[in-house]
Amino acid sequence: MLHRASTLAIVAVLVGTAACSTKKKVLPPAPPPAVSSTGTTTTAPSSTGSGDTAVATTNLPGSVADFKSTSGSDTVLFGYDSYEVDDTAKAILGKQAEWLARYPNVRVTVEGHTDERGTREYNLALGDRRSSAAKNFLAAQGVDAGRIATISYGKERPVADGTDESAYAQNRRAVTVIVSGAR
Amino acid sequence: MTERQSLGVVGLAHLVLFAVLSLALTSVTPPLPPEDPAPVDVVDIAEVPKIAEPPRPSKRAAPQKTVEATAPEPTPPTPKPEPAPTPDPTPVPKAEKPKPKVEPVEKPEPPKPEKQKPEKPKPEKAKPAPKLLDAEALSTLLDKSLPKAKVKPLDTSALAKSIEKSLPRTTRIDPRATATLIGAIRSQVAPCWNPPIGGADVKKMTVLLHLDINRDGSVVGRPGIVSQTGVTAGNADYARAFAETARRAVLRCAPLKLPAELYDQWKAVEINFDPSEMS
Amino acid sequence: MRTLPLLLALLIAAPAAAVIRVDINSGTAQPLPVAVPAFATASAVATEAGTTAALGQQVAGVIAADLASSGLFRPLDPAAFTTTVAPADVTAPQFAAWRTIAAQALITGNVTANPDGGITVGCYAYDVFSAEELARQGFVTTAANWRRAAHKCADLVYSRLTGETGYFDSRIVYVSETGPKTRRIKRLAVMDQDGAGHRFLTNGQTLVLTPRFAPNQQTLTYMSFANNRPRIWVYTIGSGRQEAVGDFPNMSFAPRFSPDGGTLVFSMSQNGTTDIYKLDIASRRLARLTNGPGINTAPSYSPDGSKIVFESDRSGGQQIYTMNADGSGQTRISFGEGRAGTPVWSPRGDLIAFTRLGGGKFRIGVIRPDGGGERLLTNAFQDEGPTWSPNGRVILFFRTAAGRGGKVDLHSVDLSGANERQIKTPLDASDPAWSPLLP
Repeated sequence: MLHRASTLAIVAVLVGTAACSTKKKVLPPAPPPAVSSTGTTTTAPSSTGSGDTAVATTNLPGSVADFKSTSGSDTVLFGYDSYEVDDTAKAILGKQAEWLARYPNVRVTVEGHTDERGTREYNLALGDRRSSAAKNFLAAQGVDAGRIATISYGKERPVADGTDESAYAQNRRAVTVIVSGAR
Repeated sequence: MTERQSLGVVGLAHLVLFAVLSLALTSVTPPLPPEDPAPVDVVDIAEVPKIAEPPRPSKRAAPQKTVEATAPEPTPPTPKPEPAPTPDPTPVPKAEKPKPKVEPVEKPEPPKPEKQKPEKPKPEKAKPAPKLLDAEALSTLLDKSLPKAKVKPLDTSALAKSIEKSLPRTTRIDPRATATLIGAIRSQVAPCWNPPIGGADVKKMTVLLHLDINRDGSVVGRPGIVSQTGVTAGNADYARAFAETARRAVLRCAPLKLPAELYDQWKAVEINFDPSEMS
Repeated sequence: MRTLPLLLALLIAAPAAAVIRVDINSGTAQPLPVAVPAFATASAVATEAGTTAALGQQVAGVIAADLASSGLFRPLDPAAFTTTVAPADVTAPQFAAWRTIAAQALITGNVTANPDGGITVGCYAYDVFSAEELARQGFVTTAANWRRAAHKCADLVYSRLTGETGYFDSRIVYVSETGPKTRRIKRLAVMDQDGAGHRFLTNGQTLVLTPRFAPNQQTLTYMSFANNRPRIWVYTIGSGRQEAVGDFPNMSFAPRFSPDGGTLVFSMSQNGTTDIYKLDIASRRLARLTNGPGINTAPSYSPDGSKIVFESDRSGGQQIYTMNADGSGQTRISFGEGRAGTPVWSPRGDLIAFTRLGGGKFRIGVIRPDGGGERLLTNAFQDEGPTWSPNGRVILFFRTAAGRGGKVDLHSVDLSGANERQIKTPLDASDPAWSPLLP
């Protein structure tokens, strides 16, 4: 399930990386970029070396990490017992849609989750509402609906353990997970 | 026995008890004479006519209070094999000084499994409250007979006279004596009754048992069911279980301790079990 | 003139004067003290499950534990017994010995080895004070199956003394949980209602939820996320075979069997709307019972199969509705503060158990099918997912404790709200379902 999806994603990324590595040999070494967006970047100030320029990491275009950093987040949050896509969520989903437009081979699954303040079956249904709401928004932004699958986990996969409002708030979410096509 | 006599006997017994205790004897003092379960707080006769008024006794501690009154009651009210050999045990640990009568006797009350009400079964106290109790007990009896019977007719009936003749000293069917008997029977049987827990239908059921009792207080054979209410086609199994709890209550707490001179009044008894007011 | 009625009164009063009537309006509502001494055996014969003498001890132990767990009986401590039961005593008990310890009923019996290697358990119940036999029955089974004979004896005693049908010879299926809340491992597990014979049915690699027994208790239906496709499955307990139900494109969940076992009722979600469907197992015909809006789920059949109770948020929040088995006549029955969900119809048909949500808590309640008589039975942080014992007298549910890593475990409560107790499981537990009485 989720495990497999991420395995697939990792494999996809690795494969993509392998392809990229050949390209890399051709390019001249580039100076460390002054800026990289959120993600895996380490900059080594010149004070460490005697003239050696440090190498920073960056997200590869079209990768899962790139997706997350470009969109701001792979997760949008919801209010209690709600599946309404609020403005913050719209902004994030909008960026996701843009990214998905740039990489038309990528397929995603939108997962719907709830907090634990509901009964088992109802929360499965509510999670489905949230994943559908996020999917519909993406589709409205031009992403082909056929590229977007949905799944609900109800309250089974919280991201925060706890019975306080801050934990609950983190768990009420829709997560866009890349399942294939990313580098 | 008249009220006076019984008071005297009980008082004397208490004095003996205190004397023995104050001598720090460790042997258990003998229980009060079993012939004397009569509640000490019998209403004096002037109040009898009033009794006709109050509504059905039922609920409200009537049984509890009666148990109070019959403090010397030796029968173990709870199923636990507690050695409840009467009110005596406590005074021992309390190292009672021979206080003037009252106090120590009250102590035995608290340890008694059910009843709270530390007041009274003091013979000396004669008067403590339970007029209400008695009224209720008596009106229990009265309600069962016709309204007319409440008042005097018994006194004038030939039958009553013939029954009276068979009684030693009390030359009338004293409503108090009857009330006393009812109270005594109730106080001995009620604590032994475990009505079924929680069955919804059961609360609406009642069962009336008939007992024939031997002179020694034991029940002849098994109590018979005179009638039962609340039985429907669907709850026959519950009804049987319910009736059996009533029967068991009687058998568990037999033999009953009742005054021998009133035997003719209690050789046949009917007991109605009604759980509707239990929580 | 006055004398005539007086005379009449006298005549009628006279018998009243002759037979005193006593009214007893209160007693002590308490568990019935009973004695369950070790079952006797004519001669200790070895069986595949131990000697008949040893089995006699164990059978008595299981019976006493069953009766005690109901909250209606108080088996007396065997250390207080003043006698043991010899084979001859089984049919002619020494009642005096049991009276002295104030046992009101005596449950006794014997275990005999059969020529074919099986055993016969004779079960006898007596009223100690009236010295009469209340019930007797023999149970024949394999030696290894002695527990079920003991449970059946306990059921016999229970029903004879309370008037209700028993529930001790039954099983519970539930979801065993372990691990951090963010990565919970869930497995289907089954056990006897007293916790014995515990077995895991799945290995925890896929997320499984809400298992329920079929009426024949040979199969279960449940929901699984196998292959990333959340849908309903059927599990055959004996063979371990698992089979997905249908090939629906959308998530299906919350499955239950109809009382005759021929239909599965469940929910399916589509683009944010969740509706209730039923599937005829033999013909595989699917029928839709609700048509939006909103979420309709957690369906449960009435014991006669004519109605279904379910939850719906069509009124703005989760509430409980009933409908006919064909989907007509959908009527809301829960009102009042907060929300209500997970309804389950009692096998007796008289009540529906459900979860009441509100005030920051989940509580187990019961309500009549007409919506009246709502009563809440528990009061903790989060109690949900009730299921009924086969006799409709006891409700089993799961409780989550507040806070990080809060434990989740099974609890049961009597219909009167009394006798709330925990059912022990090897790990955390949720989603319990009670089987019917085993035949």
